[in-house]
Amino acid sequence: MQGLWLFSGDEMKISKEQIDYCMECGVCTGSCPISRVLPTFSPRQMIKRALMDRDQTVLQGRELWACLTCARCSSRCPVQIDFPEFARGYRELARKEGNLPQHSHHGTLQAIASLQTRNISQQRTDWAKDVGRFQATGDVFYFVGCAPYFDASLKYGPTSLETAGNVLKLLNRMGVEPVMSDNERCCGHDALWGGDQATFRKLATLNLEMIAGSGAKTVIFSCPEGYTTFKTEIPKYFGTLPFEVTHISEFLARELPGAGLSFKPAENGDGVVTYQDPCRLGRKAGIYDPPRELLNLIPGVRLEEMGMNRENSVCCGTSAWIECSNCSKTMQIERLQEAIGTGASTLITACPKCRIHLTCAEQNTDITLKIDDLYSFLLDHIE
Amino acid sequence: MIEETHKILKLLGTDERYLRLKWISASEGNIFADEIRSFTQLLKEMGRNPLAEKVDAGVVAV
Repeated sequence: MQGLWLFSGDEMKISKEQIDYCMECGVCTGSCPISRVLPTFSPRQMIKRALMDRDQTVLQGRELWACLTCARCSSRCPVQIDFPEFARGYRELARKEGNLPQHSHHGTLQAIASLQTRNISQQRTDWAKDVGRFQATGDVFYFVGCAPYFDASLKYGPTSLETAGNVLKLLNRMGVEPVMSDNERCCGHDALWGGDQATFRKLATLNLEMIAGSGAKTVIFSCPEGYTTFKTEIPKYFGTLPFEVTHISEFLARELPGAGLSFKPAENGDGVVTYQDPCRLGRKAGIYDPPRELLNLIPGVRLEEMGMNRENSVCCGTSAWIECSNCSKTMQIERLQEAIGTGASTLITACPKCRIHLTCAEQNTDITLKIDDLYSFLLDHIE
Repeated sequence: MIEETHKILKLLGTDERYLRLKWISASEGNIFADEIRSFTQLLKEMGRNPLAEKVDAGVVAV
């Protein structure tokens, strides 16, 4: 069987030329957080085997599913070889050969995404009716993402809906009553990166129809995965979108300082914080400054950076609800220790999955670092 | 697990009564029979499970 790069031109971003340029410097493997924990995992060897040696056994192996698609390798590669895109494309082929990932949480989240491709009448905005004000049509759409399903299916408390609710409250405080819809579907991020393009396409089609029906000109995302899926991935498959895709951190960094709201100073020792850059928001979307600017708006807050921050940030350990492993736990605990090392009392996250994964890892340790999300922390410090 | 699944079914807009869990001992034949009769009756009243629809299931290429 041929390599994907030969028969799937514009959907596979790795060209033969790029592979020819690989100078075998090993920066990819040297940068990989999985390789650090699992020394037999090597992006460099994998891409060499698959694309240079045409060795298709990569499609049968487990290692294809170990990649976090966190883009730490590709952001440092001197010839811009997009390893996550390679993994995504090869996962599609691996699925066809019956090589499937290990689903975390009994496959519940994959089942939920798959069921959302059907003709269903969801009740996914019920939670918000007591939390804030929203509309059925309008210029600004708030794409909540999977938060209602995360909180229903995972045992970490109302962590994801708390964030979504606080984003809605922040928007309301700034005079924005966004559109929210029961017809929203999963953004398809996990299906796409798990090599299930059919589910991704179906979900994207339903979401694009739903947004068109709302009349929205701007769609705001608080989940970095939803954001980057609409900003970068959906246009690759569906062309330019007829609305603006905005991340809430960009929106707030731009609008909050002039919104006439006043801040409460941080007290009781919660002023020193550190920040976890989500892969999808940082390396994949280049949004590093807006979350930091928002933290700096609060008087008395001091942001202490972890050594590995911004483009060097480390993934929260699992992606697409697959292959949660010993690698994940080691990475997560090292990351929590790095956060404690900054002297911060609170680790601020900006992605529901970072929060879930780091909270899960912390529960099995004696670490007592507070893990909060950017928007809840922000709202807590607004008068 | 059942409690979580009921929450998920509700979010998906599906009647939670399609999913039922009962613990019945092997010595409780009558209770088991009554349970199955009442569940079957209920399922007939509620009609087809909308999620069982084959159209647009999971892996439809677009």
